[in-house]
Amino acid sequence: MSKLDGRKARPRAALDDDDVDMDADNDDGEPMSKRMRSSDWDDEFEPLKRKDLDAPLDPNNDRIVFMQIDIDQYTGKAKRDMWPQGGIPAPDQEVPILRMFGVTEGGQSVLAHIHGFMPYFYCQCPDKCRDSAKMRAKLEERLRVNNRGIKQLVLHVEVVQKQSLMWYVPDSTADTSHFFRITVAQPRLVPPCRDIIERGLELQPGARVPTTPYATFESNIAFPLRYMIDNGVTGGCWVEVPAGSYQVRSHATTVGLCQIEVDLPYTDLVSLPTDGDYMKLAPLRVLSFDIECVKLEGQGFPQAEEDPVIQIATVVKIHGDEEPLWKAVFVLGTCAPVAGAHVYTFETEYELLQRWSDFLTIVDPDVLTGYNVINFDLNYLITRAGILKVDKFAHIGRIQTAKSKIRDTVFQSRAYGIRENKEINTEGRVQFDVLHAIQRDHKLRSYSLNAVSAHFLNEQKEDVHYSMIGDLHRGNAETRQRVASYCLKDATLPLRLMDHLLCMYNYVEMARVTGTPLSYLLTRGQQIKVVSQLYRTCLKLGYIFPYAKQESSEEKFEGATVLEPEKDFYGEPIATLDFASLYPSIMMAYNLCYCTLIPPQYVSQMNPDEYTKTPIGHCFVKKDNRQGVLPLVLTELLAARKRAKKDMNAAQDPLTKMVLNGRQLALKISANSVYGFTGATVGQLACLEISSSVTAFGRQMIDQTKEHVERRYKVAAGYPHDAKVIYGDTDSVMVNFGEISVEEAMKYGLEASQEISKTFPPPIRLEFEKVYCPFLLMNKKRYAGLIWTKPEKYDKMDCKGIETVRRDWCELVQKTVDDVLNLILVERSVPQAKECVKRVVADLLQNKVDMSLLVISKSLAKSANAEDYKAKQPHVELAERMRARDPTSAPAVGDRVAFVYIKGHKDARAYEKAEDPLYVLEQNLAIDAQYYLEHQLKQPIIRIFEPLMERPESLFAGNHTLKVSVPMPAGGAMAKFVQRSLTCLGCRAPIKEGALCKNCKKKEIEIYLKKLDTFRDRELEFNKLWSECQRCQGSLHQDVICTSRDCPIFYRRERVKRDIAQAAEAMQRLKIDW
Amino acid sequence: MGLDFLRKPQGAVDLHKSGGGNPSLSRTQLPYENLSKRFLVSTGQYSQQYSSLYYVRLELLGEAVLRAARAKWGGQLSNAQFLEALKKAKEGGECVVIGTLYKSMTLKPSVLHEYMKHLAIEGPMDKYISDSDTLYLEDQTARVQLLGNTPPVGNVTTGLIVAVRGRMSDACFHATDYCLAGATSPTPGPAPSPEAPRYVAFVSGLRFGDASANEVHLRLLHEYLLGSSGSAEQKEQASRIGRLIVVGDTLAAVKTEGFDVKVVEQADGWLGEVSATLPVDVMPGATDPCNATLPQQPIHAALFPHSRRQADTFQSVTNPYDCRVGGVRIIGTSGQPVRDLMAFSSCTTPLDALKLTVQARCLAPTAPDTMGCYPFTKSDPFCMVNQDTGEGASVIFSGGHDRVQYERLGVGGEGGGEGQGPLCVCVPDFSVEPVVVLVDIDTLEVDLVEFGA
Repeated sequence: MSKLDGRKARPRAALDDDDVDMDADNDDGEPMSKRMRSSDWDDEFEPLKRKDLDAPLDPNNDRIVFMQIDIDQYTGKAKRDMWPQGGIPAPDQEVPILRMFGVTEGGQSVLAHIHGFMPYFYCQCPDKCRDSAKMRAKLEERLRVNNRGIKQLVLHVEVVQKQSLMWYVPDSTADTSHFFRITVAQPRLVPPCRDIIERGLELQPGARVPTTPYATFESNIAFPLRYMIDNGVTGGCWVEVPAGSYQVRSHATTVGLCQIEVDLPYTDLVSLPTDGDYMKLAPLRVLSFDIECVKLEGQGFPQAEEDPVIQIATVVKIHGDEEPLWKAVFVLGTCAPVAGAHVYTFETEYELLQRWSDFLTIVDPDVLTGYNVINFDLNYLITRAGILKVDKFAHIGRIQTAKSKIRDTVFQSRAYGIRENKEINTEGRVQFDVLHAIQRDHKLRSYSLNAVSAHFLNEQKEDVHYSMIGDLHRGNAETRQRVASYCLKDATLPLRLMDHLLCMYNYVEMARVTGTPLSYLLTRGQQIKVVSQLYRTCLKLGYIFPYAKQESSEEKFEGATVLEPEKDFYGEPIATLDFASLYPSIMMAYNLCYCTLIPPQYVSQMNPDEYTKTPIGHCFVKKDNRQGVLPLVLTELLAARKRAKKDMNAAQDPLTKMVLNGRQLALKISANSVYGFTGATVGQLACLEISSSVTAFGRQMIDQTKEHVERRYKVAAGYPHDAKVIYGDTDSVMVNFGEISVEEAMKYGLEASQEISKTFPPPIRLEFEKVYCPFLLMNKKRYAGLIWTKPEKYDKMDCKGIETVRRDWCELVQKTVDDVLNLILVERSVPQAKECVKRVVADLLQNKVDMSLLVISKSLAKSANAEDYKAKQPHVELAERMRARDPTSAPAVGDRVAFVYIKGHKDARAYEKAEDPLYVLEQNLAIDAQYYLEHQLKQPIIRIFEPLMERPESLFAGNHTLKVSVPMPAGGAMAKFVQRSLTCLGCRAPIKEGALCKNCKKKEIEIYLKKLDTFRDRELEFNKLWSECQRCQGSLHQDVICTSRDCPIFYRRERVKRDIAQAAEAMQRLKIDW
Repeated sequence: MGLDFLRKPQGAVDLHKSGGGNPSLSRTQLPYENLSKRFLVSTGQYSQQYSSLYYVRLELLGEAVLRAARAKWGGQLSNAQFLEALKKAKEGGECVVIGTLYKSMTLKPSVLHEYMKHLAIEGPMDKYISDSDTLYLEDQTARVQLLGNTPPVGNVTTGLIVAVRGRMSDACFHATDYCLAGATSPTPGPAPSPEAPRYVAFVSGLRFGDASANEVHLRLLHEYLLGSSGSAEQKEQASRIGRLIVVGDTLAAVKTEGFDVKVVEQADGWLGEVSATLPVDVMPGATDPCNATLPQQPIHAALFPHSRRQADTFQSVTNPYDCRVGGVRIIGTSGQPVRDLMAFSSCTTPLDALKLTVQARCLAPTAPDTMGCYPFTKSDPFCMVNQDTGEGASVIFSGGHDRVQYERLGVGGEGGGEGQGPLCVCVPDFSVEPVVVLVDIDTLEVDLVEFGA
């Protein structure tokens, strides 16, 4: 018996009979509409609740230790007892208060209100005037104009001694080390203050606050981050609220939904170092969800303004657990049970949304995840809830009164390009969209959940077209169950991907290493991570970070060097010498930093021994004079990485290993991004003097290395061959020591790297890592070879610059390139490689290549607005044609359009020849083999063979290209004029009746056996393909409805239906001839 | 020489011609009816999927399974506890549900892996089972995971229709007991003939012209069947064989590449001579020049240019093959389903696997999951349930195995007991174990004739 009455549907689900509408009675005779009482829901969700503390907190004796995951800020009345003696600005003044959210080791959620920390920034004191009172008054007065509500705007001004991070200024010049530190009442007051100062502020006649080169300092940092920096709190670190320092909020005064809610002064919170015990991750609650919605009227993709949400699948997992804690599907209408999940059914969308929001509150997740879940699913849900007036729904975050709102944002970053995003506030819950994480960290052909799961988990996923979802929803309990299982899978996969890719470990460690809040990592660019680290180091060393207006500049500087490659196929070993962490080590070796850069006008005043002049003429003071901040940051990062790697190797516990691996990766990425930060022209502090000097040193070092190797390793010096540098790029040099063994090459490589390292200042180090043998050097940044790190056996094949990842290359190219390289490098057989190419060319011409290998896809941009495109684009044109054929299945804006090129009439343009692969299969249309040869295969293949043979074009001509087969179209215009006459199955001669001509009749058995072979292959293929799909969809009894075009067997599955029918027909004709 | 019955049976009715020591010998004649029409796929349609086949199978067998379940647990459970659909299983309450098994297996070969190249492709394996295999039960309304190792995961495969007793808990079905439909009871044939014993002979894997074939054994078999050599008892015995069923793998040596007409001539000659005096049915098997998946269609007549002329005693038939001989229903396959069942379950002998198909009343439970078959939509011809005639088979055979095995089942298919159930026969591959299996159709007893040294 079910322990609940009413409409609880786990797992017996809705107990309707087939095909009855949604408000039919269930078979207990209870009307579906009977409500499940709130208390029932409480019972149902009881096992999901977080465990309470064993005993109530005793503020005097209990300390609270938790891993903080999110910090934000709000405005509130200053709490008198939370301020240090005399620190409170004014009675009842509105002040910023920080909110820190986190989880204890026992899994209790915590909200700490942190009081007393106030926003501040710096500006330089005018010459001869350090009157802080005057400064305060002036600023207060100017600020007052637009801010009447607050009693005191500028709380405090004091004079401090600091150094600007920018420029090295020799002592002899004027005193520039005195600054006003200005504390204001609200973070939002900082920018207007900055404006006032930038526009010019005169303290007294003749004493203006200097505005050149920088007017203000540290005036552009988010308030919570400012707090974290000043108090040594890093992202995702553990903190302690000491006993006796805090007050527990009573039930009446809580504002959050956390189990523990306290107030404390900011000075009492202790940040714990992320070592030992505090390295681990708290048992974070991760909630992954996915929604399904249907279009009510018309065609196309459902719109949140009009079309309902019909299902929400949710999977809750405690980080570190093997299995999910709870799987649930919330369904509109009845639904049959779903294996392993709790199914809750609802009559109205209103109720569905409301219950899901209750569910969310009870689960109290720390992390919200899913696939494209913020931009799509959450956005859709909140929009729906707004339209249906499900008022409490909008509180996704942990603050009772905070409504989650949707804002459109455009995120632009050099590394990640332009992305339009939805920003939704979920206070205290970290949004971790797996799609965004994968887009950031991996370069893939496709980012569909299907493609990504196939890539990482080696698993296909059923893909049901959204128009089909509507039909299933309008069906019965069983068809809705299909949607539910499908939806559940989409909610489960992101969690599995997170686990598989160690996302939690890697991102938390990145937050800890860079000191950036977790939530910044997926929503902000690379710069913020460097900024956070620079601020922290500046604070330690007494520097302050100037505020520079971000101005995009077109200024370009010369990049890394690439030595002209000696294109060839090398059978002998090629040793590779790499500079380890080249750019960071250059910056460290030459003390390159903002604060060591000497303004050109001062250079003449200095003794040339005191500075380094870079190859392009910028001057930086040497370490003994002043230690650069960037080199210091880098030294710390690299030292920390070394430590992390050492600890990782020593660690026994696999979880600790994962944390440490995440850490060393984060440290490596951070070290490498410092150089980029100095070169980012749209950046917080671009300094091309640094970045261009770095690359200049890099170029010089590559040249020196080449020269050194070629001078030293000579026959004349007793070596077996004259060494030759055949290629070099950025931080590596490839050396051909001649026809020697791999082992000898390793010996020379190691020796050379050690010798040459001595010629550079530390920590610049040339390392010998690997030997390529054989090595195919095709062009700049384009080579392939087998890597050897030990003389016994090669490690793997390495290809650079040949990956045809972009989706305007079809997979046939990738596959052929892989096969050919394998034959050349591993099998060492160029003839076989040539044969392989010829076979592919022949297969292509004979229409034997699997369709999925030929598909090219492009995403359909916003509205097929023809004016936007000067040239007609194949996929846009195709989408139009498909819409004309069948509006229900045609691609909509944002969809990926998959197409193949087919043979068109003589003058057909490329865009006219793009066609839907499914349509091509149905109609048996001919593939444009010439297009695939000319525009896809030829170029990459010729590039590979160029060093290997004369006239590689010959691979695309000759006997193997003579046999061409073009299928007979099944329908369409041409077919009307073609009369299909009966032909002999043996020789295709026209015959009047039967299957074989007179001649072939003699060979009846052989012809029969040949046809039989084909038929047998098709039978087995049909069976394998269709039974695989039946399994993949998780049901034997229901038809396969998946239309996942990313799946490698999708087109084969369609094609085999036609192929087997054809083969069966031939068999049939031969049979009649008995 | 005992060539007396080397004649067409029609002509042999009252042959008492002298010659040799058995003047009264004549070929036993058995009334025959071909019941295999449902296995003929005349015009193949391939636009449909496999789901219909599962649907029909559950429809056909579900009722029989329900009857068996009621017989087994009816005393302990109320009628209402036998649920008509899986979706009606409620959390907590004990019930009986009926559905199709699905076994999720980590080692199951997957065409996706072949294409994705991510995994090293393993060659065919003998067994694909592993400890991580899990069972699901599904019908048209739902799918649930079965816990409790009931039925034992190793013993069963995908595609079997079962009834499971237990209760739902935490969205999984915790099973405590299960049952299959159970074997059909043989419909008693006509009263034992005065001419008893009367035999139907089974032989498999003749493999003419193949390297593995033993020409001497083939000749001995030929002579035995025709009564042209051997002892008087042997000749007497051979004369009582009223039908020979050749259970697959006759033309293993016929290859598309390097086709050798001699192989065809040899097989055709042998079969032609045998069928001159004895009705012969040739079933295709896995290695024959025939379509690959079940049901295999009769081998093309062009491959039997000589034998085929004896239209009334020589036939090329389907695999599976279903017929009534001397009033006794005989059904069987050339062994592919049994071998597949062994690969995907813990069954170690062909007889165990064959018995499982009999008890489940399905000749090929793993088709179409791990074994190919035609995507039937309106029927599942592999089900052994009253399909055409309403009678249960008396003899169920499977060919091409590495040893001969047989067992007379009890009522309902339980082993041992009174032996009132059908007879299960695993016919060995003649090239491995040169044995002809004679089934006495009056007593369902088995005689083996060996040709080994």
